[in-house]
Amino acid sequence: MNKHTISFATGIILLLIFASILFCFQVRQSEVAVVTTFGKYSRTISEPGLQYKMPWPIQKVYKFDNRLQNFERKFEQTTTGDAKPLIIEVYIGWKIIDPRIFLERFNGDIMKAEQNLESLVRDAKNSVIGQHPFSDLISPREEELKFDDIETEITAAIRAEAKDSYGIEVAFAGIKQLGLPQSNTQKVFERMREDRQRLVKRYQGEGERQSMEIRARADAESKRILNEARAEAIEIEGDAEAQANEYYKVFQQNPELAELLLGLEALEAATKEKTTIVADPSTPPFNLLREGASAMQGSGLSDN
Amino acid sequence: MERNTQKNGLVNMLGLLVACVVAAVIGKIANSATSAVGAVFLGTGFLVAAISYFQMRLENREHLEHLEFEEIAKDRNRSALFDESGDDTFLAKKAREQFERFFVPTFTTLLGIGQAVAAYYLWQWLPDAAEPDLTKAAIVMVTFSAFALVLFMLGKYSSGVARLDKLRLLRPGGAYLLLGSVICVVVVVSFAAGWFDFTRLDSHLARIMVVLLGLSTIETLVNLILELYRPRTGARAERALYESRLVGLLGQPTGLVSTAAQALDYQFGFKVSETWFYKFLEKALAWLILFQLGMLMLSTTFVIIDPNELGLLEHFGKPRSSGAVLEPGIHFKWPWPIDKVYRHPAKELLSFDVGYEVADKEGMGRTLLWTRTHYDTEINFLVASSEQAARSANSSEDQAVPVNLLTAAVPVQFVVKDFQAWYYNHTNPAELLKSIGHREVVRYLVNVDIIDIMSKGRLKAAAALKQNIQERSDKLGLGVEIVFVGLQDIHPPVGDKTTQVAGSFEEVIGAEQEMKAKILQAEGYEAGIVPTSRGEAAKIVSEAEGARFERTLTSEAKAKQFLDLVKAYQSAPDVFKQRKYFDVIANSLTNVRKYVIVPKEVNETFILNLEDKIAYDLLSARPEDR
Repeated sequence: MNKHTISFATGIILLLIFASILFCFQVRQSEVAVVTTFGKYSRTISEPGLQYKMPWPIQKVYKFDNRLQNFERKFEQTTTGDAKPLIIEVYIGWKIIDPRIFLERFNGDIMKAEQNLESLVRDAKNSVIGQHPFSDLISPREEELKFDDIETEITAAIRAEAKDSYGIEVAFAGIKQLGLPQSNTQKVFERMREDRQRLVKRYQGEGERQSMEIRARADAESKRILNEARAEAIEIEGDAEAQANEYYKVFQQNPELAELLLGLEALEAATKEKTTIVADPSTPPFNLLREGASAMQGSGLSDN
Repeated sequence: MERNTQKNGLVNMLGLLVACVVAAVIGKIANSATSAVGAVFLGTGFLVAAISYFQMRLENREHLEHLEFEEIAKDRNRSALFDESGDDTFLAKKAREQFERFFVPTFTTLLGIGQAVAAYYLWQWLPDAAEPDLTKAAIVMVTFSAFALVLFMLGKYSSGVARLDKLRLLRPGGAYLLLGSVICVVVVVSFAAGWFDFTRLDSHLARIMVVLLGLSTIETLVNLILELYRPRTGARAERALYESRLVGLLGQPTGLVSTAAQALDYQFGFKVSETWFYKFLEKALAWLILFQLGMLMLSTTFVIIDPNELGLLEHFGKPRSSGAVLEPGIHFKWPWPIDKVYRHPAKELLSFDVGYEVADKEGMGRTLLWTRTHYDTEINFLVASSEQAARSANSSEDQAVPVNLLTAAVPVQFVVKDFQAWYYNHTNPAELLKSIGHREVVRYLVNVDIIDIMSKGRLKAAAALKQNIQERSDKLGLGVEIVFVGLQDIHPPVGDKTTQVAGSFEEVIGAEQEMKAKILQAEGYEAGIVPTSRGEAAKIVSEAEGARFERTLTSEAKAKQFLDLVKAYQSAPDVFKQRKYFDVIANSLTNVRKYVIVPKEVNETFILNLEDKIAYDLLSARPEDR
């Protein structure tokens, strides 16, 4: 095989490659294609596989992704039906169902399509939210909530216009995020704090109340116990007195002596501590002081 | 001959100009960096071809002038005119000399500066250059292939005829034409690589071309310096000042092979280029290249899927009816572009986060508190407020929004269970799944109480969220299995310095603890006082019992003693009385202060101060004086 054969083979291979580039194209499972002839729409290819065309510039192929596209753009403030402010972000899933219209409207530019779709979404979102009170979106009562219905309404509001004018189908719309404007957020923060402060006060008061109740109950119990004990002690004392009196009956045998002994006992007890006795010299045994002095005078031992 | 040469120079010049314009336009519309840099080379080539063309015309004029002079000289047989030859006689020669002396160095200097500026700006621009637009690949490749062929033929012809001494000025333009041909092939290769998903090759090749442009600039400047020291012998320079050896080398790669062969011959001391191996290589080079291409094509007939991946096999863009999803391992297929495989790490555990964003999870602190933000971005979710909702319902004038705010961090982990659904149903399934995750968290929280979700409702919420995300993903045909949904953080928002919402929730917990502490204190008091009272009561009763014993026993003893004393008293009543009296006086009054007053007169009055001393002076400080 000489050099010319190799060159010829190489040339044929290159020719085949260029011919396949010019005359063939593939449409993938995830794609849909539009073929134009001298700029005029010829056909739409929705099935994947190898396809044929006339070379450029006679025919031109436009391929689009026919899978569901996820679109989300703005976290936007709006107002509910009962005039409550709300910030809402919506995501939608859309796909090209009419590639011809899509090509004509947007020249096949996805970004351009999404910019136009954004206007539709914003309009539908604000219209639907404006029809519902705040409690349809956020409520502790399940039966009051219409979260899913609102999403369905937004989808329906976009769907018809998008299909007819843009050649796309809006498969679903979902609420991705809900929020409040900054000023309202601040107010909610303040209310949440005040709500917590109310609980703080309640706990403090409840603690005080229960503490006082327990203490009062304890004091009452203590007094009851002590008073019962004192009463019992008095009874015991009375009993003791009664028993003592039984013994003291013997004092009746000699009342005079009994009086003497009891009197002396009382005297002894009375003068036990911090007592000052002022006595005159006639009081025995201090009378001995005078008698002693007189005796001293009589014997001449006194100075006087 | 001269006329043809001039035409050839003009064609070279126009060919390079057209190629430059086409390369610039295609570089712009097809985002081709190689094409854009190539346009600079081709533009330089156009300028060089243009000056060569003018210089060539001057040389032709000089040659004609010289021929004319010789004819005249023959006719007059060395007439006086010949003798009178001077500067004014050879105008064309003078013009050519002036052109070479002044215009060529000036042009070369400006060319070098222009190349340097272009190289600098292209180097700055390349990192920002977009990837090539592969939708225009067919047009670009066809156009540049055609240009490669035309430029190659023109360049080859010019380089061939330039070996003649009189036509040497065709060589600079010819070199640029051949280089232009190589550049066109480079652009075609960069777009072909784009089809194989090597879109960055365009940028890499463009960088190499900019480096070569820089080297060409340096060469031009070195040539200028060397020109200053070149001896002026009057002989014509073999190479034009603006002619680049580098461009000649790049435009004729075969020159490189022969240069390398010569270098090998010199190095080994014998003719390597004449050995059978070298000759075999030279003969079989085309075959070897074809063999390489064949191997390259053969390498596209199998694919190895890694353990964490799945592959999707498409035959002319259509997934195989059976075995479209390729499991890890080796798989055979038709060569590219008949069969194509798209790989994805679909066996990996994938995850996304709802409610927070953090750039560096490892860099987060070890202690996470409610009162400090945990992540780079935290979202405040709206949560229903039962109390506020009831208040709003009762009062039509209450415009306050009946919500609370809650910070939640919800990591979601998932695996792809149906790769075809994951790949074919959505352009960006991961992003959609994240939106679904967000939606389900928002949907769940708008219907729960803040305290409930933060406490006992937490586990229930995680299970419900997992189920809801799974159901919605299935409904939209995402082909995923949700493995885990966790409420790793769910707490009141941090708030600002004024509100400190999370702090106020902690205060409630503090107040609750304080309440419990107070109750426990009271219970402690109760636990203390009641047994104490019981003890005290027992003491009172016991003391009473003791007193009773004392009283009864004392009474009994005294009664017995009394009976004995009666006997003593009856035996000597007076003595008994006095003895007892004085015993008592002696015992009782021993430690008692006593005053015995002896009045001298009957009506005498005594005043006694019986007050105790309150203060003691130092002298009376002894204990015994008190």
